[in-house]
Amino acid sequence: MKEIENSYLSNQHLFIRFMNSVMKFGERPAIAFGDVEFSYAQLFQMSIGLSSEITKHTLEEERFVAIFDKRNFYTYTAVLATLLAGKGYVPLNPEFPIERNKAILDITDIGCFIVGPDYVDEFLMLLDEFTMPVCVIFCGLESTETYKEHYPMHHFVFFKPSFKNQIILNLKPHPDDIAYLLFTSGSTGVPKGVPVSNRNVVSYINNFLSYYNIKETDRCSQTFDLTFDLSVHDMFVTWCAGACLCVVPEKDLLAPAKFIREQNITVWFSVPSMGKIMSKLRLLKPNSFPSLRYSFFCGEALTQKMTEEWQKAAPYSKIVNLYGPTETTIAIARYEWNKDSAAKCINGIVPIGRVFETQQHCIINDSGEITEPGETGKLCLSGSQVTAGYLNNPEKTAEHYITIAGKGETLWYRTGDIVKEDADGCLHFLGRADDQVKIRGYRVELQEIEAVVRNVSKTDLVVVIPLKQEDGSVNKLIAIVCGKGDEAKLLKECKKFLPDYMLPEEIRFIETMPFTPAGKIDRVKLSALI
Amino acid sequence: MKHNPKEIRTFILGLLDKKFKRLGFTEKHLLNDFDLIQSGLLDSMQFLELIADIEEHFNTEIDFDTVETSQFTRLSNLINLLSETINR
Repeated sequence: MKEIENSYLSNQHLFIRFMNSVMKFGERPAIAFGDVEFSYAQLFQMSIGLSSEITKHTLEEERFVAIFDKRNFYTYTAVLATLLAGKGYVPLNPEFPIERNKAILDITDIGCFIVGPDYVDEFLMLLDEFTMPVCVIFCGLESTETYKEHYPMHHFVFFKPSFKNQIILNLKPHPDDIAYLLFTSGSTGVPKGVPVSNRNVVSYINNFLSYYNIKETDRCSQTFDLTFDLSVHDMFVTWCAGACLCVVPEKDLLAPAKFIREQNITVWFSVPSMGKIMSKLRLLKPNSFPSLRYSFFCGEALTQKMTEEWQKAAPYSKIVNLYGPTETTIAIARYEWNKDSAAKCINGIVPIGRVFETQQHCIINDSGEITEPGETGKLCLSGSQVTAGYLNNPEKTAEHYITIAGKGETLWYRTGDIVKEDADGCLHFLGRADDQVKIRGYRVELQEIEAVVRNVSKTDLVVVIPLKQEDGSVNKLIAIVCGKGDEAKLLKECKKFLPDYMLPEEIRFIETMPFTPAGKIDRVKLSALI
Repeated sequence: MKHNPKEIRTFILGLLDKKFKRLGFTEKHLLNDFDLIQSGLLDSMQFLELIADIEEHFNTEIDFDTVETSQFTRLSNLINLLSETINR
């Protein structure tokens, strides 16, 4: 253990960082579900137990383990256990359509699944689709032969929780091991896999903790779904600091004002939409959240209006806008709200601020050249947080991970975000260079939805138009199909492939599609028709 | 003005009628524990629009501070909460 602890390399691995906290804060609470808390030592022992099952039932060369579960004790144990087994975890949202999860599995080649007790039926429906044998580790479920009889091809393991001390496996953590694999919307209709290494994540955590003093007495919120990389921040910033991760129950996620108060949350992190909802429900009253020391927002544009209201509701909290695509690991730029910030906002949107000092950025124009200071352009990022490329997708990797003239061999991630850097070196987000939109923090490529609607309607001419609210955020998607059809039937079909946030609000049929003189579908004209 | 729960229910269902049909929900789905968000009928933003419409129609403001989220996203609970607020 001492040897591992002292090794520079292993300090770049998430599990070792977690283990350091276990040694330091063993009896302190690591995770809380309402009044039920589990200590660092308990979470550690549980994850060792589950990890040995993973090791027993997977081959060394298998890189990934899928976690089919949502925000219960086993979910977090499964994350740690997978990392300890030297593999990367692939979160699957049990509430997503089967076809969506299948599309992810088609790209990934996974032989081992960890399934929580609440989603067994949903998992079995997915299992029906498998043609190759897999190993399924059920957590918190009574052992039974039924599954074996129904699915003779697959192997089933029933993991029982135990807090007894167990033997530590021969751990060989390497910083270049993939920590997790997440999927983002892909414009061709197939999601893109982003493998993120332990080195990438540890780099982020070191950067973040060098700016913000999270302590072992802090109680940090966990609002993000595991399929969102901001959940990695929730878990590992909290655990590296020795603090307690307070899981917001699903039922409170819409407007967790009561949760913040009752659980004495000191560090808050969510998408700005959650704040906006609380504001609309009149839950952001002055001094509503006196316990908050820090409030972090990320995932979509943060509005000045919501920030000002939040500051009144949480008067002792520092408010920070974080920015970063999944490809550059969680967040890579930050802006701290202060009394002079109102003047800094453009179009009522809070700046994304400065890129972390250890990472690099540049802004390029349409010809791929670096812009003059103050000029608007596309943001490119490089550094230890930037990932190496998409999984099994050299074409998309080459398109988004580029070299820039005058910057040598360095690989830059081209974000597609249009930004402007002001005289103080502060970055402002002005929009997107493509058809990507954010819906409650979820990244959505309109072409991906169009591809699904095209398939189910068997029509080539399909356009998805985002409807924007006053503050520029997208709240509805309307699909326009050239021809005739049954709206209810098509929506039902789309639901099989698209998660709720990507589902068009309605499908409209038109007789002829408007085209621009260049022969492209005229989106501007279509938007005006709606 | 007094409004009974049945009247409130009819008004809410009227607002959601188009949406129900589009997503294939029928009257038989709308039992007491029907959850407007978890059923996939509305997302959070659409739920807020619904609340705004209801509040405007009945000229009232619901106090969400005292109830839990799961309490007001369920159709029957929302109706109860509304009838309490309106008829207070």
